[in-house]
Amino acid sequence: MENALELYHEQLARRELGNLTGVLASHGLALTEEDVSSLLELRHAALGNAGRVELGGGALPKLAQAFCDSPYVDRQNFPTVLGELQDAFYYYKTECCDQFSDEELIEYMVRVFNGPAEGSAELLCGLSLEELCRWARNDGEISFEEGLY
Amino acid sequence: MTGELAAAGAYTLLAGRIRAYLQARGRPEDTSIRTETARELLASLEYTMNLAPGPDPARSFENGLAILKKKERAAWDLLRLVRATAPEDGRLFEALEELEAFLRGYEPALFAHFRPSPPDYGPLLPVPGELRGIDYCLSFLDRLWLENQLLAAFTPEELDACWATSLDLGGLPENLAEKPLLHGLGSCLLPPGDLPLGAGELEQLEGVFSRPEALAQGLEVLCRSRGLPGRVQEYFAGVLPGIAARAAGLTAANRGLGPLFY
Repeated sequence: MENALELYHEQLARRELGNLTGVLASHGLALTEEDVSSLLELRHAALGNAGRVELGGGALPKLAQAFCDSPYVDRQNFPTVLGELQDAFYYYKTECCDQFSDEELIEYMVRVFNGPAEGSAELLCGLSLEELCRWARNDGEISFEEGLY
Repeated sequence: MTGELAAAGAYTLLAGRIRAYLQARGRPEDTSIRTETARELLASLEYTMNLAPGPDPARSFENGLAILKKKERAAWDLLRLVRATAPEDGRLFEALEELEAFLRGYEPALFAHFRPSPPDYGPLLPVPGELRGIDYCLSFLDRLWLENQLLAAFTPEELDACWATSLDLGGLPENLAEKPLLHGLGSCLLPPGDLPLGAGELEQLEGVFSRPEALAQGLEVLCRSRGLPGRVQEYFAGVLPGIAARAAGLTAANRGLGPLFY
């Protein structure tokens, strides 16, 4: 039963990611079957770490769609970046006590990633929720060099 | 979590509850919730389904929900009844306000098993701790309603006279029905049977606490003479052992320091 459920969710996520193939391709990006499998494994761990349960395809397709037009992602780093962003997304989602919707949170993450973080998923993931909100609201007008912490 | 869901055999239903929860919180597009919330939704689902067990989980849930909604209406009716019949007392009304706030926020479709924090003022016979959700609320209100019926059997003058007497309750919060019950019992058991009891009769009443059969007899006479229904008598029959035990403990602790009543 448990395996069947996991398989069901995986299939949904694969299908939703599959539906994005055209969009990703238009930005020169692609996710291989292997990438997707690896991301789904990471999702499982990220959900557990953040103390969350997910329905359907989950946040991964939303993140893939939101970040595919970032100037800082390419075919090579996209799967790795997506994995890190996924981890950060669930962390922030729990930290904000679900006060932000998926879309609001992803929008904040995109602003910081494309703005002051200059495409560094590592820097983005190192931010506290408060810092993320503060930096997202500054909308890229402040750089990390000016003193993030 | 998924292991629990599999054990419950109600994953589809739980997924529906999670969606309903997200919808109710204005986040219909969200994809995840906290594990703790999912656990509460699952507990609520199990509680609701157990109200109407059957082979079809979806049908059990729907039927259980219908039962809960009836219970919720009954709780509102009972709340109004208790409030309408309650003597003027700030603590009691505060407790009723807390229960009303709970009922206003009660979400049987999502968190049916949630129950209110016990108010400071409670019935003489505590609500069993294992009762959950609206059942806790109903039981609490039902007990207050039974106590109100006892109080209504006394005249306002009698009540004031009973309440004016001092009674060592061992540090427990005072319940409005306790003194009238004890004075009423005493008046049925000890001559001359006037209300409120005098100091001598109160002292004598202490001795009666060690004789359960005498207490039961007194209660029967009290209920009959005041025209109280059988349910009220049954309720207070359940209350008396607790008071007797408290009185015994108190008497032992205070031996030589003074009477229970003074």
